[in-house]
Amino acid sequence: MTRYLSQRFAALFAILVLISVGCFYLVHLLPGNPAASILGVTATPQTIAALDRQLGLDKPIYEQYFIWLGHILHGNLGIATPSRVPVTTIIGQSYKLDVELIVISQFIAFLIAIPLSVYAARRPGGFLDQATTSTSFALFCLPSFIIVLWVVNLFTIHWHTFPGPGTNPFPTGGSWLSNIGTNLYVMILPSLVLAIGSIAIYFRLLRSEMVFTLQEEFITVARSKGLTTNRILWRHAVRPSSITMLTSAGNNIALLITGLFIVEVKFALPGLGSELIGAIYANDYLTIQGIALVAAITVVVVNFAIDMILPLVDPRIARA
Amino acid sequence: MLDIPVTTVEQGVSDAEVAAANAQPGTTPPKRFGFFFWCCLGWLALIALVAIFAGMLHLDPPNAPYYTPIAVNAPPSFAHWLGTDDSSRDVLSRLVYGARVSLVIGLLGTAIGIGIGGSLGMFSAYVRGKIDAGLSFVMYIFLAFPAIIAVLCILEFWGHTESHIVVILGLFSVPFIYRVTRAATLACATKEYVTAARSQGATARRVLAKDIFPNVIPALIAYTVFTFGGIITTEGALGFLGQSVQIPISSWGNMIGEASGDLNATLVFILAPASALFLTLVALNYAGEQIRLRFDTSEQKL
Repeated sequence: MTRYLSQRFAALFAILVLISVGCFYLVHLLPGNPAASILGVTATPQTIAALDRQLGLDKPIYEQYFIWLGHILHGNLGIATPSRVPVTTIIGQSYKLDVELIVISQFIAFLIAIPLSVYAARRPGGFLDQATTSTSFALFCLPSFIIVLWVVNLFTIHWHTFPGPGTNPFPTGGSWLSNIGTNLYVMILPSLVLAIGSIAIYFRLLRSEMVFTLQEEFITVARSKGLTTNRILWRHAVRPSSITMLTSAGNNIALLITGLFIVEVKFALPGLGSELIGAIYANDYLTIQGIALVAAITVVVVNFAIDMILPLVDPRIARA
Repeated sequence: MLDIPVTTVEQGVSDAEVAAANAQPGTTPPKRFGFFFWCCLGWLALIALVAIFAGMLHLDPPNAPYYTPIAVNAPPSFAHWLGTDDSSRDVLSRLVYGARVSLVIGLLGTAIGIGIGGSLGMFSAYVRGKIDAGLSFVMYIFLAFPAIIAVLCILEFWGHTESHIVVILGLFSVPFIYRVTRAATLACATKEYVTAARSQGATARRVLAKDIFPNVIPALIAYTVFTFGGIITTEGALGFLGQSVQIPISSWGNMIGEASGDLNATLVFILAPASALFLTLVALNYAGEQIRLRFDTSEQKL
């Protein structure tokens, strides 16, 4: 267990260092000079050189990296160019929204995928199995940007069941209880769109692992002891079967970010995706860098957390 | 892949899991391809032929409007089978020429991914040791990085041309192909026939080409098909965000994006590219899955 933990921590540290180098370089790969873009059309070579010196851009690149890293570790991501707002403020607000979307969507995904796959695996090839397997295959082939169109049109424009795009998910003024209510009411539809892709993936993985586990000898033993089917499914079979699904949930976070950007744009929510597209149009290097850094670190930390959970689900993993 | 890009169930699944998934318990491996498989191939052949011979179909020009006010957002008619869009361009024609863009990006992007990822995966599983560990670590980082961010930045600064999209989506599919090929190679690199070939003094190049490569091909074909679907999806997502090829050039993704932003658009205008994309993805994923099951000769099945 100690060896497993120390390996994971070493890998986490190495990856974080490499990601910080990558994000630092991402901006340097892009054409254009930040000093020139800050000064705008009135820039002359002399004023650009002066601003370069002021910003520290004339120093060697490795020195710039360590200065930048020092700022990052002090929680300073710089000032966004057009709006003169600290990057941390911009990211802080949109990050809160994205985390909420991801958490709700993953909660919905597990809530639907786990029971469905457990009961589908009970009788492979049966009616429930065939119906859910083919539905999940169809959903898997349906890109999120097509799903989002149908959902928005049906639930907000046609039926008015949910508030339309552009409703502020973080209202102020009401009591905290009514604020939370409004917030959930606005967030449930985008989260649902985001959850559909995850449901299809989790269902397929857990179902096939469950079918495999249910053929094992310890299940036959449990049956011969006269345990009920529900007890066998939920107490004996789910735990060893869920490793693949949990690992893929970690990888899924990186993929979810594409879906997240689409949902944000379509529902007009001020998340990281909307901020990133705005920052790209405005040549706002520091905001792009900050968003890339925050998103990459989130993905790595989520994967690390899942690595930490896995031995609790199946202790054999830490011993291997 | 980054998030990229590849959206197969297998994305980012570990080697052991790929092997476990290959076993596919509960489903008997198909002895021959079923009817639905041939339907899928038929659909793929149809769109490929239509895209290749688009110039010979006597369609209206996809990018040039007619400037006839009546034809703006017109419903389907005999002259325009799928109607016209907000700039009075023929939707069917844009769909057909859009298939060209989507399919070419998918095809060339997959070729880059398979070329680099496949050869690196085979190489690193064959040599093992430090090179293998180092390469796998680099690929792991690529998998962790949310590719959409890098793709959006790079495209914005390089320009949204077809060739840039191909290169970037191809490169971001490398880690997925790498993992799959590496796992498949590891599985057969320890077999007796490889040891036998090496003991007879065969060079590494010969062993890789003659003994390992033929056994990796089935897995590679299946994942080629999955990657193809993944790249088309990602291109669609970029197009939806307005970050793929730029209008007036059409791709399925930017047609969906354009139609969804236009309140006066007819239903057909959204439905046509969305169904084309959906059917293509179903065909690719189903065909890939069947090929994978059919050619899977893992011991679990013997």
